[in-house]
Amino acid sequence: MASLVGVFFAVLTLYLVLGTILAIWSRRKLRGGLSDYYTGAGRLGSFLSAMTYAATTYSSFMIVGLVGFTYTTGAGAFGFEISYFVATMILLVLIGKRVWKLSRERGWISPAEMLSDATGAKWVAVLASLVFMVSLIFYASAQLKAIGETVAAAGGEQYYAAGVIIGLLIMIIWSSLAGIWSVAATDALQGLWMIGASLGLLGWLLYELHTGGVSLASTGRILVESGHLVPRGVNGYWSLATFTAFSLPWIFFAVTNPQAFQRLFMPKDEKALGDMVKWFGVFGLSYTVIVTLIGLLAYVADHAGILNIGIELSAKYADRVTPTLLRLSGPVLGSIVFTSIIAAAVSTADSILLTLASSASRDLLPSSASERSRQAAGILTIVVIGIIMSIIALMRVAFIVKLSVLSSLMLLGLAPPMLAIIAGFKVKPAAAGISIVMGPALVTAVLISELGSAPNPVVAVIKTFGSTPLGVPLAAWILVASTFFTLLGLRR
Amino acid sequence: MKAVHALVAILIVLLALVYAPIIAGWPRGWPLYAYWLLTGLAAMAVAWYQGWGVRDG
Repeated sequence: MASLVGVFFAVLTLYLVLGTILAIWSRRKLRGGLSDYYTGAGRLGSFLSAMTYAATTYSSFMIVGLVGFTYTTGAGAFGFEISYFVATMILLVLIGKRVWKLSRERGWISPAEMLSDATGAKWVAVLASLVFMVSLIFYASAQLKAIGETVAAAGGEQYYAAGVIIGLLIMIIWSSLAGIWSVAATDALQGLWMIGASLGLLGWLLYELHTGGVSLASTGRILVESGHLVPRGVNGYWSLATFTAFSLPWIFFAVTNPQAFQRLFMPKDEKALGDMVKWFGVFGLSYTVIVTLIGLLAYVADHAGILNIGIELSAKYADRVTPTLLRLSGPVLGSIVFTSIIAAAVSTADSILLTLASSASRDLLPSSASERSRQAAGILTIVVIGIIMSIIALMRVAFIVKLSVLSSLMLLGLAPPMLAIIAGFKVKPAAAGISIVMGPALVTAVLISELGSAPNPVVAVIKTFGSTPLGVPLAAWILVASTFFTLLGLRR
Repeated sequence: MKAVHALVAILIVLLALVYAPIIAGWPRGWPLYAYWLLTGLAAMAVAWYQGWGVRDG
């Protein structure tokens, strides 16, 4: 029988070859110019718009983190992911068409250009771009680390560094070959791979439970007794404070995360924009259900003695669940799902790289810079940030992944000024600037105070994420402070 | 503008509904999972009713 290592490297090669062929093929669509390179000059059709939005949004956190989180803490993990989904769907309906229209009228390419346009101050866009870079570099590095960990788990420990380097090369090649065209084309492949692989894993689990004689009624009973299908979760993990700490930073993801926001500039017409929202919804809800069911049913299979997963029910062991499950699922299915983790990580990180490159070429260079130098700055940004990401990933410390979860908190301060501007208000530059830095400023302040008392940086970061100064979650403080300064600077 | 206000109100209500089981400690079992799934489906239904955000008016 074929070994996991051999099949995994064969499947990984197939994925890399298919993706690279698509990336090269997509160059036919490229017409030239910054707008076309970064946003497709607003020419993306329904399918590419929807798939790139979905694959960029859903990272390796879903099939690794969320499966493990549901397994170790219960259905509360599904609840907090649903809060993100609900907010994103309604926000897309609320702001999608307006942002799409304005981006075409005003010629926006980078996500921060809306801020400089509405405040009349270029430095606000520069500030926002720097916040994007600081916040997202750890998030993107965590994706690269996930690739290294996946290759190490499926192929062997000695391949960790090779996994990181392959991941980096693929991100740089797929994002620079034809800009958004190659990113969107490979995102389509990766999105389909992600959902197909997760469906396969769920089907296998259902088959194992069925042949093991476990009925739906008995799965419910097992999951209630263990605390998995009880609102507060296993060992009361999902308190109101924890649930809020997880859900609040992600509620404004569609507005605050530049790689998601920029995708609103891309659909070619209103139909493509509507289809993007519709198919993102179908993809997102299906993927969330599949992934959380995998976590719950994996626990039942372990409890019933059908699969020997044997992982303690503690959130700190969440990331071990999926690799263990995949080693039990057989070489073919295991290899396909292991590769889907890489696909999820690449599709998120190369989109972030391209968005940060658009920020560098449009916002950080002086107005007098030529188109040629802007293009060079973009490519240079992709390479430099890619190298920084790989250095961080090669350090292979848990700290990086924990730090990446703070990205959503650091970006949260962007929500009030962005939403005010989308609603048609003008915001004074100073007010917008202070609102934008509220996230990084408050996160850094709390992190420094936690570093003083925590035994190590990992604990300090975890405590920062869940901190509740004066009994209120940090995310709420950032939102309140940012909203306050935005309101102070509001004008019609 | 009315539609915007209504959508903001719907968003707040849906998020409150997502939080409700954590506060109330109920329901339990598969009905809990189905409940959270229904809130997601409700968001989809609202988006569909609004023409996925591209219909005028």
